[in-house]
Amino acid sequence: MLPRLTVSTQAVTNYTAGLPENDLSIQTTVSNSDLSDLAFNGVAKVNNTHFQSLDIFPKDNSSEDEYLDKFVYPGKDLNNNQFNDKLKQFFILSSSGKPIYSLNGGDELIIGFTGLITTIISSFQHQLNEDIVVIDSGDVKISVLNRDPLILVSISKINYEMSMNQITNDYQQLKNQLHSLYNYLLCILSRPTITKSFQNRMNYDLRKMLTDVDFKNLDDMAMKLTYGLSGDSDNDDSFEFFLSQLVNGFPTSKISYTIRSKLNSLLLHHRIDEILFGLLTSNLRRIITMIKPKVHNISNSDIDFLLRIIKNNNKNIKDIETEDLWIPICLPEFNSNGFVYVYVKTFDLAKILVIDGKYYEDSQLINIVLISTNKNNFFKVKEMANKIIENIIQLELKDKLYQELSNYTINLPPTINHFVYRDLKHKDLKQCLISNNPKDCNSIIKYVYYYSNLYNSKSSTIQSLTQESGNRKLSYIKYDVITFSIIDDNYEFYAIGSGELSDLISDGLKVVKWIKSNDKRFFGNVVKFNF
Amino acid sequence: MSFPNPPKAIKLVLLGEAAVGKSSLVLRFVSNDFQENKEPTIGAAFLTQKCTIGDKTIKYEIWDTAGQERFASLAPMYYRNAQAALVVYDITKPASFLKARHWVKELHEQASKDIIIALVGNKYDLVEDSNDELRKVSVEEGKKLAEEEDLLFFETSAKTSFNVNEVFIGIGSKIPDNSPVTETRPENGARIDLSSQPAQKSNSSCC
Repeated sequence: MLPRLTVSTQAVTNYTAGLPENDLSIQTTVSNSDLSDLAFNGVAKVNNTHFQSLDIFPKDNSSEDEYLDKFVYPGKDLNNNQFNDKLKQFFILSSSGKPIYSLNGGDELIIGFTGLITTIISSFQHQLNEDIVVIDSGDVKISVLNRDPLILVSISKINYEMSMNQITNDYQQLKNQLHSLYNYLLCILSRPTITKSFQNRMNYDLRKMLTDVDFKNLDDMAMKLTYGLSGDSDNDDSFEFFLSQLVNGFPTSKISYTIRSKLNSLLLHHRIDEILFGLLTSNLRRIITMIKPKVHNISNSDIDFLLRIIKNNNKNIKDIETEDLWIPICLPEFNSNGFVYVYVKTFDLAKILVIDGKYYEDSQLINIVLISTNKNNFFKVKEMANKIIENIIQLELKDKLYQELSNYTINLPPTINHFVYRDLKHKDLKQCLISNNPKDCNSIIKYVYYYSNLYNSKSSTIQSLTQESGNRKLSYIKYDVITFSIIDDNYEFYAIGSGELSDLISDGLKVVKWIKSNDKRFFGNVVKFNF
Repeated sequence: MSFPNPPKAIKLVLLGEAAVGKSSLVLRFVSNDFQENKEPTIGAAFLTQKCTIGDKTIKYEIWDTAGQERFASLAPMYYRNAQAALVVYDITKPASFLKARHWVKELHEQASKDIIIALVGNKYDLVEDSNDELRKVSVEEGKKLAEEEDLLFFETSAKTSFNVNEVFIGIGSKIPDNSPVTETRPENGARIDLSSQPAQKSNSSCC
C-alpha cells in the first residue's frame, strides 16, 4: 500500500498572508515505515500546450515533425536557405579559419562564415587586445570561445538563450555550451596533441585526428545542450543531460545507505596505489559510489565526458560483459595536459541473482570504472576489479541493490509535473536529483524553455519566505504553467507545476523535505582516501 | 588415466587500420556473434577465449586495439609481450592493405623475435557472390606478402564466420608446445625497453 501524505494548510495560509511567521516547514505525517518512496496520490495534470504556440521559436505553420526538421534537427547537406533556417549553429575552426566541425552545412557553405569570424576575432585582438565573447544583434547572438589554436562559435536565434543570467551577468548557457564542445576535443586529444598539431603547420586539418563517432558525439552534445533533444531519435537521457548541465549537478541514484557504505568500503579495500578515482555506476549513467583522493577532485564535466565516451564505445549490451576496456582519456578539468587510463568492466547484476531457481529477466548493468595514472598496470587493475565483482557476488544485499536500481521512479505530488533538486551540502561531488524525464520532443522543448528562463532569471523575483532564514529565496514565472525555484544554503529546487502558486510551493517544500530525509540515500556517495 | 593439460596462455594482439573488422573478428571468435555498424574501439579491449586444437587447449588472451591513427602510439604497449598477432586489412580497401604492410614491418622490427603473425584479409562476404568488382586486394597480393614476410595468411568474413576459427587454430598449431608460458604481468617502463632482454641474459650469466 502506498503511504498517504497529510499536509497542514498552515504554510499555505502563511504564504498568502504575506510573510510567514515561522520557518516554512510543512508538517507532514507520513505513514512511511518501510522507508520506501514517499508516494503522492493523484496524477500530475498533463499540460497540453504545444511548444509551437509558445514564444520559444519563430512561428511557422508546419507540423511538429516538419518544424523540427526545418528549424531544429541538424543537416549537413543543406542549401543556403535551409542552412539559414536553423535556429542554432555551432562551428569549430582553427585559428587560421580552417573548418573542423559544423553542426549544419558542409564546408563550402560555412567557409564564408569561418573567414568572417576569424577576421572579426583578429581585428578585435589587434586593435583592442581583447577576445571577443558575444556579438549581440538583438534577436541573434554570436558567442565565441577563443582557445588558440581553436576557435569555437555558436550562433543562436533561440528565445531562451537570449537572456543574460542575472546572477553571473553573463550568457552562461551559451558560454557553457562552447566550453563543453571544447572539453570534448580535449578529452579525446588532450591539449598538447592539439597544440602540437598546429605548431608546424597553421593550416593543419584537425579532422584527420577525429572519427565519424567524434562528429556524431559533437552533434549529439550540441543538440542536447541546446534543445535537450538527442541528435538521433533516441531521447532517452537527452533531457536529463541538458538539465544536469544547466544546474551543474550529476544525476544521482537512490540506494540505501547500508549498501552504499558496503560498496564504498569494497572499492576502498581493494584499491591499488595507482588508482586515482574509482566509480561504480549503473548503466554508465548514475554514480552508485565513488572513491577519490583527499587532495584531488574530479569535476562533473570530466565524469560526464568519461562516462559518455565509454558509453558510446559500448552500446551493445551483448558483448560488453566479455570485454575489459582500457581507454586513454584526458580529463580536461583535472589535467588537460595528459592522459589517464580508464579501466572499465561491466557486469549484469541480473545474472548473479537467482530467485527460486530463476534469473531476473531485465538486465541491470553495473560498471566498474577505475582511473589509473599508469598505462602499464592494466592487469593489476583488472585483478582489483575481479576482486570487487567477486565480493559483490557474495554480497547479501545484492538482491536489494537490484531492486533499488531497477525501480528508479519518483512519485510526484499532483501539482508538480517535474522537478530538479540540486544538492549543495556535499561538496565532493555536485549532484542533483531529477524526477522522471519527459521523452517526447514537445514536452522536452517546453521544459528546456521553462527551466532555462527560470534558471537565468532566478534572482529577479525573489521574495523572502521567512524572516528568520532570510536566505531562502523563491522565484517564479507564470505561463499557463508555473515554474518556480526555492533556494537556500543547502539546496536549489526547481520545478514546473500547475495550480495555485501557494499549493505549488507547499508541495515543492514537501518534496524537498522528503529528499532531505533521504539525504543519505541520494547524496554523499563519495569516500576519500589519502593518496 | 591422463589429466588434460592446463590451458596454455597465448597473448595475441590485433592490429590494422580503422574499420577493417578487428573487433568483429574477435566478437565472432569469442561470442560467435556479429553486429552491423559496430562502434569503433577506443583505446583497447581485452578479451579471453579458450580454443581446443587436437589434444591441447589454448587460452587466448586477446588485445583488440583501436585502429584510429591517434591511438597508434599506444600499440607497442599491446604487442610488446605478444606471442601472436593478427594484422587485419579489408580486402575492398587498398589503403588498409598498405597499412597492414606497415604493421608487419613494425612488428618484425619491434616485437618479440619469434612472434607468430597472421595476415588476415577480412570482409570476404562482400566479394563472395562473384561480386568481384568490390575486391581491391587480390588473394595473390595477400599471399605474396605473407610468403615474403613469413606470415600465415587467411581471407575471412567475420559476418558469415568464414575462416575465422581457422585463423586462431592456425596460430595455435604454430605456437611451439615447449615455449615458456609467460606470465601476464605489467611492465614498468612506459616505453618499449629494447635493452631489457639482453640485460636479463647478462644477469643470468652472472649468477
